[in-house]
Amino acid sequence: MKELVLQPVTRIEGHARVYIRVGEDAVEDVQVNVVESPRFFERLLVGKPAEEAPRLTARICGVCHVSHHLASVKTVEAAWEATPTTPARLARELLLASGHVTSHCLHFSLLSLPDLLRLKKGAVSLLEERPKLAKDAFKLHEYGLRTTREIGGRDVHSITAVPGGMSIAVDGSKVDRLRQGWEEAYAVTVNLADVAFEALEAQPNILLEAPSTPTYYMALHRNGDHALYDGALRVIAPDGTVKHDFDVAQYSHLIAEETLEHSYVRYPYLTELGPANGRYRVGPLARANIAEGFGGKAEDYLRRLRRRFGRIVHHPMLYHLARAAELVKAMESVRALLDDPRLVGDDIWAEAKPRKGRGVGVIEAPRGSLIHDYETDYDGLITRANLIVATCQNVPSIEAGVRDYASKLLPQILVGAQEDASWRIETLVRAYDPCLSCATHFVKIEFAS
Amino acid sequence: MGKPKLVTVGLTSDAGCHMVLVNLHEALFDLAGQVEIAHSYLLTDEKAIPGRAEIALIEGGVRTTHDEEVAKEVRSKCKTVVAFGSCASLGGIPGLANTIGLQELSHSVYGALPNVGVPAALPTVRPISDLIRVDYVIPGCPPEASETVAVLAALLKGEAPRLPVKNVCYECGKQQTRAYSSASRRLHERAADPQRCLLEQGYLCMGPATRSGCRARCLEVNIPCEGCRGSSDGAEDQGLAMMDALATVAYPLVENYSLARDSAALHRFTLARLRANHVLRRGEPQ
Amino acid sequence: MEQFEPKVLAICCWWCSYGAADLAGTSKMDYPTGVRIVRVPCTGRVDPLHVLQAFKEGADGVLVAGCLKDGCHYVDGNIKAEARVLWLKKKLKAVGLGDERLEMYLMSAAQSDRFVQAATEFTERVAKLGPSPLKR
Repeated sequence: MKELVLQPVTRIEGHARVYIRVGEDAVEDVQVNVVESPRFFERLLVGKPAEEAPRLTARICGVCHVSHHLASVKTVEAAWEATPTTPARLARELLLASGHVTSHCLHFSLLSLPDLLRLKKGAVSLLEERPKLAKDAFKLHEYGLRTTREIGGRDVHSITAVPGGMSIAVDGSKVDRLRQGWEEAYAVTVNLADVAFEALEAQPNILLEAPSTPTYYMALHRNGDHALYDGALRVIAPDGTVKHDFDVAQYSHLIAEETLEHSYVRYPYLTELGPANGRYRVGPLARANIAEGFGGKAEDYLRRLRRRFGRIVHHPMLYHLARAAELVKAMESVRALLDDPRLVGDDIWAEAKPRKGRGVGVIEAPRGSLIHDYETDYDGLITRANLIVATCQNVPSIEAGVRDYASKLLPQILVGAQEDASWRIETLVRAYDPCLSCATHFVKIEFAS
Repeated sequence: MGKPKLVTVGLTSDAGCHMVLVNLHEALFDLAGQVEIAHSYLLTDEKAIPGRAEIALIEGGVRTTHDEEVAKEVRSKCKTVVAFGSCASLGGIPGLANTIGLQELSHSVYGALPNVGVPAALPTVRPISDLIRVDYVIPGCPPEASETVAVLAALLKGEAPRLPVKNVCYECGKQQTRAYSSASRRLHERAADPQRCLLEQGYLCMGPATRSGCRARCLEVNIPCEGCRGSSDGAEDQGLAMMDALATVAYPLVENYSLARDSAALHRFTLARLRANHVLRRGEPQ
Repeated sequence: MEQFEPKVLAICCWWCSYGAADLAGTSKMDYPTGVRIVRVPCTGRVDPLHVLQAFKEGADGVLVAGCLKDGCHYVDGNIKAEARVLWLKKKLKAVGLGDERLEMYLMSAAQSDRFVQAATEFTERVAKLGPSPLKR
């Protein structure tokens, strides 16, 4: 009996280890242990003024703080029955788009590109072997970060969203500043997307190596179109048929969470199908499958993905291409919002009144659907909170994928080619861009002989 | 003789501080030219911490047994240990969970706490200085990019880094009239005059009790300071220092006291450091 | 049965309560021996951190004694001290120390009897509560 433990799984956001126990001729057990420490955000929010939740929950994740900040403020508004002004809503959409730009760009350049290009020393090897690519990626990231800073107030941990609006208006000079540099950043974006597509199209065997299992998918949509800030939640079956279209407030009727003893992540599943059969995925792959179209030049990339690999795609490695298409879309959204005259308005904040209520706010974070759910009392203090973060909805699939891949690589593992097997399994995990700081409210392939 | 080795780790954290490093962009290239990034969970694939390194940045506080082990391992292997960010130096926002016993925490989120293949959770969150000797601190949630670079530059030159010692009010552009409102205001209430000091208008702005160096960025977008950089030199407890200051101008804030609200306001980042912490650990009801 | 003698820190201001305590001493008035007096220029000087530090160093109770309402030499130092004590009591209760181990009393320099009354009453109260839970 051998045990394979991947610890830590590197170049992911957060901490996980993968434990694989290998018998004489079969993989006996696989666990993805999310060792990311439990911080108990859902409990520590209780008793806090709800208007503070957007700043508190931003600290769930240093990478997707924008998404938490916005999901949180939407949740408070839902609970307090408050509506943000139009300029505020547009500013938030711009902030969210900038968050997608930075997050997708970061994952792409530092985390997944080395895998796609088969560079085995991680981000550092990208700096060494493809310095122009790395510098271009930095330029794009810098543009996205600048936008986040201008609209969200800070580079990391946004602060400007308040119930009813934003704390500061977007004025003409801010828009001008953000228009500068967009062209250059967009050119980089398109180039990066091309690199990603070309890398995978040139090495289709990558798709044959790692196993793939069809699942259900979930994402927000607005009349069938790709949507990040607002919309209805849609669940589709593995063959693409729409199973559910529902208001976000109803999520708890459709999704349940299972606590496992081996992970600090709780596993969500579609209630009607049960934990074993109710696995679903979120994120770029889900959004590419669910959206009718992306619009703009991003649409070209979506069509390219579908032409080559099918209308509904399941392979984890195709997350990279869906993400690349989304990166292009995010930059286009930034431009469209900057060009929207309604963005620059003084009526940025319609003061909200605390009330007793319950609200659910959903945002499509870079990694998938992010759900915040709060109950508040008459003073507007939080009495109960539930969070379902994007990555935890993917962890069951990651675990199943690792199990399948390890089984496939068994001959390799048994004869001792463990380093290569470990690296391959890690590329599978990394394709999902797991954000494990979010996933808790960890692949050390250990061999024991 | 090779370049000095830099090690960065993340304990109970959100990677926000590591994002500061990533967001250095070109400056990260420069850094990579001066040091060997020997181990960094986000940036490199190297699984093990090298036997010996010059500088270590520890992001994150201590919540699990694994955090304890890593903190101790880093201390034993690295010459200079820097607490990187507010979680490492103060406990951070996760420290707010310290008002609640572990049993109740785990029950409310997980039912039974996971215990297979995952490190055990400790009863409270602690800053790393509770376990190991810390040489320097880079404060903030997250830290300032320029301050991070300056601290590393000083350490590489063999000098002791120095942090600013004033408070955020010093950097804030809002106007002070010295007339304080007798009513307290919450964040969702729109300020009558965004150009005027928010504390004067009744918001609980932690500016007076918070170390300068962030250019009062939050105030620039009309959001009161949360105190993420902790207190400056000489004030051992940020929350008590603020209470001290507030008692002279804002009596209404003392009414309707609740630990949850008070701790989120006065001790948002520093509750884990509060000296009465080991009483909190007994899980006394509030 | 062992009698628990609480250690009480009495923070007294130079202008009023320290005078009262002094007068109590010279008048040979008895007050509990567990009361240790620390003098400050004004109770307005008392920092919440000092109080917490006192508990950490082994005090079972802390008593802050200042001037009468309009009698503060520095105009309103005693008023500020009252606000701090009030807030600190709530915080101490919330963290599990209870709000009975900290109290503020007001008196003039001539009121030695008031000082004795405060010291005795407070010590008795703390004795009933037992030793401070912060002492390990």
